[in-house]
Amino acid sequence: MTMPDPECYDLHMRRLFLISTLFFLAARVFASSSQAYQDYLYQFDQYRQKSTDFSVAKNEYEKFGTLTSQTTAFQKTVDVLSQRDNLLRAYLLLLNEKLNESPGAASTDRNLYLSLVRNEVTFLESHRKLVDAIGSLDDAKTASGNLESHYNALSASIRQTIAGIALDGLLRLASQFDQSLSDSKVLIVTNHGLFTPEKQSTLDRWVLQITNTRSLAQQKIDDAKGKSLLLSSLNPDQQNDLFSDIKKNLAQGKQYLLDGSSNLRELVEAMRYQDEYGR
Amino acid sequence: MADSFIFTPRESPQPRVESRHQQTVSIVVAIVTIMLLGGLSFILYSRFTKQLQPVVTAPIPLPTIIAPSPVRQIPAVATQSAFLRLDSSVASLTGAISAYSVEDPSLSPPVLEVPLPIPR
Repeated sequence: MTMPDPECYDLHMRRLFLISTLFFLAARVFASSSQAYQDYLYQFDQYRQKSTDFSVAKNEYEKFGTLTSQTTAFQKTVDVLSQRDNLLRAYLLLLNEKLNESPGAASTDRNLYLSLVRNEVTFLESHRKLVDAIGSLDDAKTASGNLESHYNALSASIRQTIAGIALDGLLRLASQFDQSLSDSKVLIVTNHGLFTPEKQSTLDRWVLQITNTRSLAQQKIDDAKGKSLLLSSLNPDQQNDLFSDIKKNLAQGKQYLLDGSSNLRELVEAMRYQDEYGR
Repeated sequence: MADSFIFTPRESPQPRVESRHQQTVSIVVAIVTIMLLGGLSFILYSRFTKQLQPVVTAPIPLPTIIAPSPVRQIPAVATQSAFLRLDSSVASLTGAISAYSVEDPSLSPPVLEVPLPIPR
């Protein structure tokens, strides 16, 4: 019986370790975003509960005005303000994990969105300290106002990040589309002599048409990207309207890519067969 | 005159003695005649009392013309590995684009009560 080669054994073990590590890291990334989502749902549930308790306590205090009802209202106010921060923080962490899962995002774009999220998390952490220091209902009003004055910027950052994640998905598909179009062009050029002149002319015409469709898709993607940069300067209602426009542009971009990929399919089929006339 | 009203019996004919064979033949002829008449009656009855049914003519089969299916020649380019890779990538691309969703429902931001109506 021959002994195994130690060098070969070592090489195989290293490969196995590397593959296992990569698999573990990939699983951890996807587990992170689903874990973040579960945490967000939990915080949202807690917020709804505390919001209801706050409303009840507030109504009782406004109705009876007793010291007991005032104390309860104060406590419930602190709870809901604290939970509001927890909820927003959990949501921002979810966005963070989703950004980390987007492999196609250009590093500059991803860094932009990550910094937006990080800034908001930093703000919430400082706001949490303000909430912890609340001593009266007046303090609570001040602390709440602090978040509310920042809310425009917060919701703009959130919408910008969501748009960025959606844009990243579409850009990844556009990149795959470009690769397939480029490969088909290379095939047509390389096999120039194998096609009849008629067929060659048809293929060239179709490639031009597909390229035009791709340009239209890019136009819509660029429109969406440009609009997402304007979100921070708007109030919440205007942000909602612009965000709807951004989604519409992305949907139009997707449709153009879909039409283009269908045309690519036709191009491939035309290259695959010759008809009975040899075309 | 009274004599004209006297009934004079006619002489009865002498009985004929038929043979057995002749009797059998007569019976058979009678039976056959009855059957024929009965069958004819039945046919006439069923023909005139039955409702006319639509006449269904069997479709006349057309002569099958076997046309040759068009022969599609596969050019050399279709057997190249680059072409096969392209074919596969275009198929998966179409599926990926179709599956892409502009809006991820899990990323819908939370709806908060802002400003919070804090009691004085």
